[in-house]
Amino acid sequence: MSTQRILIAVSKDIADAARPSLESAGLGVEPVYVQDGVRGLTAFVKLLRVRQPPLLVVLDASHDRLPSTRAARAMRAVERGFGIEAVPILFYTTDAADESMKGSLAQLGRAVHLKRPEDATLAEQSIRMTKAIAKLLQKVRG
Amino acid sequence: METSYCPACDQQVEQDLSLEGTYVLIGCGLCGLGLGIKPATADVIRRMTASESSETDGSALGRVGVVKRQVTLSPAVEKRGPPDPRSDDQPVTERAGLPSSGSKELRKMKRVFIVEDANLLRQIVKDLLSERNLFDEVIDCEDGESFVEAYAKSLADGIRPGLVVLDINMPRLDGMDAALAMRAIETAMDIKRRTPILFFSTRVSDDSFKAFLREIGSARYIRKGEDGDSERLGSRLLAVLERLIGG
Repeated sequence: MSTQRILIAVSKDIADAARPSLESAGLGVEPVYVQDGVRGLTAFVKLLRVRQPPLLVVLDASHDRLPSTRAARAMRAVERGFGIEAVPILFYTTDAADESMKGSLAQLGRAVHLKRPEDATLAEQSIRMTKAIAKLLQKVRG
Repeated sequence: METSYCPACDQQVEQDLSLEGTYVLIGCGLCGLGLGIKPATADVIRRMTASESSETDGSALGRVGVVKRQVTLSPAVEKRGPPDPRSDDQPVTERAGLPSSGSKELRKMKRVFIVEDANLLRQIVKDLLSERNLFDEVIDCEDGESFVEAYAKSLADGIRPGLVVLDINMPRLDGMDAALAMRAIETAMDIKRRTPILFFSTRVSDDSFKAFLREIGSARYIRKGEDGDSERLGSRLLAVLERLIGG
């Protein structure tokens, strides 16, 4: 059985803080960490090429290059171009869940948004992200 | 002496230039392109070249080189014949870093993408390119997102496009994001030779955009200017493409 992966394109501080909690959560997946939307898209296409699409993509909005919703649009476009099913996306951003975000989620499909609490510590933020990932993986795996 | 700048990338004029009517075509050091600068500027350069070019190889003109070939940049461009084989112009393609007309790479230029959200301009460019047979296939996309999809599909089908003409200001995914996505896909698919991009936009080229072009690689920029006439814009773009691929 091939390794199941999740792609995590978030800022380095969150990624570093999240590693321990993701490892200890026993999710049965191998996280692939990247630090901006362009690298996220590159890693995403590489996984599609070897026919091992990630179970989940996590994106935050702090990237200079291809921030979250734009990276997600590009990923969806690649999926359609390659003729494969949409991979679930979790936006973990400090953005408010406003109409713009809701509109993006509706257009993208199979995407959810979880607000990253800016006033929380990095450890708290990463635990929140890990819990959301665990919950989504449970859904994905049925 | 008036300093002239390439209207495509705002570099100072350094190399050869050509005059006809009220337009000047400039090949500048950075982008290798350049389109119709203002008639007043053209007049200044024309006077300079008229008084000096008969006695000099152009070096006396300072930063402006000698006139080598006349190029028409008018709506009637589609009636123009093939380039003069006697011309000693360095091919624009070499300066621009794009495949030259004689290379094998150019022979592989089967498919071109035109990505433009203005429906009329997109259709005109598509029609002009189809009529001129510069490419086997012209694919038009109305925004960056649909382009990324079509580009990914093209690569998945084993067809590497020869050129992508990208507008910048577009809905859903703009031209700069689309270019970043394009390069990310190429990197992921181990494509060493990047598909050339020709940005065609109203955006003014500033330092940050020049840095972006360098980052993207194999990319050039032509400014649309203030002319809102789709047919003239389409003809201007066609003129540049013909020069790029030596058509």
